[in-house]
Amino acid sequence: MATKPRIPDELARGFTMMTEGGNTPAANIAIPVELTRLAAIPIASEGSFEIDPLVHECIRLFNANYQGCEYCLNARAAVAVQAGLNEDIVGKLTRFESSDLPEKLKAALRIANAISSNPSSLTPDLWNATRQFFTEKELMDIVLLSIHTTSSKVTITLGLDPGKQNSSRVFYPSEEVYGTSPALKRAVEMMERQGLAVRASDDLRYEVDVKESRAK
Amino acid sequence: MTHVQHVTEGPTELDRVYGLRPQYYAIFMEDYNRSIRRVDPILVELCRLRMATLIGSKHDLALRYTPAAAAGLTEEKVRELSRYDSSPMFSDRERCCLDFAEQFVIQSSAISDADVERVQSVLDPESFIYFVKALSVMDQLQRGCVALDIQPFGAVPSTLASFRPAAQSIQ
Repeated sequence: MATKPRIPDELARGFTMMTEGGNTPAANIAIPVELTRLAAIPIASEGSFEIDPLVHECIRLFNANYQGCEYCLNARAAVAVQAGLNEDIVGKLTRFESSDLPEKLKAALRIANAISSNPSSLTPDLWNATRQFFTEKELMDIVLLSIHTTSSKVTITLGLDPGKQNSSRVFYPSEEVYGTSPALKRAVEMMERQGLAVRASDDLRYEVDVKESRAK
Repeated sequence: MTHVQHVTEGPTELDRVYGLRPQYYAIFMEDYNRSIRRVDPILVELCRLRMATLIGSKHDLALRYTPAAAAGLTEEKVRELSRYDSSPMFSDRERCCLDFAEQFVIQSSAISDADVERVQSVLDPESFIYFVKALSVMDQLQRGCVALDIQPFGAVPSTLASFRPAAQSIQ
């Protein structure tokens, strides 16, 4: 796994995976911001995936470990924390099958594992077994989310993982890292009206159990 | 046929399944097409088809990227892809990039600095950046097609206008 950039400094400078605008290589290969809103964050907004925030975050963290992204592995979405995510759950994700995690969560993680390791192992039997816990639309979203989280392969391959030193905390919905989409803004305002913590000053007081990824 | 029972309207199975999330589908495919356009068309097509064989995407194997054919890629060469490491039809540059594409599919986290240096001996840094991005979007679409068991139907999805049906699919 890369620990330093594998591209020249002048091309690596200012690289983020979600750069808006510009014509630099970094901007050109960034994940479109609207795609992040629709897929990558566990906040329901117009047209987005509709997955339980805890399940959403667990899939993201499972794949972060699989792909070897230390930044992603050590980030925690505030929405997921408020939906019940804790470090005990996070600690069981890599060995979920032998864990005492709820069966519903295991079912979602089986899909995520299939997508990352061998998509053809998502057989009709596995699909139907997962339908016990999720609607078909939720299952589609779980598949698409699992695929979307493999986007970190680009960052890792280019040696641009910002590392655990730049995450290892809770990320709040109103933070710039999630983009400035009006649809997201409306969703965050709704969350705030519902009494949910949406900004860093709301301070959820959550301590991340900082990890290195398994993918070495 | 796809696992998904309740699909939406569309000319192909890809459209009918991915179209269940229309905004996501539209933006992802725009990014897909934009990303593969930035890479040498023959190189991107060879990698796409080799990846499709490894991942098992019948959907991808049933399509051909028309800019690659326009640039001179022949079906004869495509049929040789399983022997790219020894066939004289492939340049060292193509072999190097195909090796890398295979690693990206199998386990990208295991790609070493030496592996990257090898590719960067045949691609300049900016081209390398775009090449990696193209591998990523191709990898994602192929995983989706396999996971959801999306079959080719002879027609081209509405979101893949630069492609045409293959006369004959490869294995």
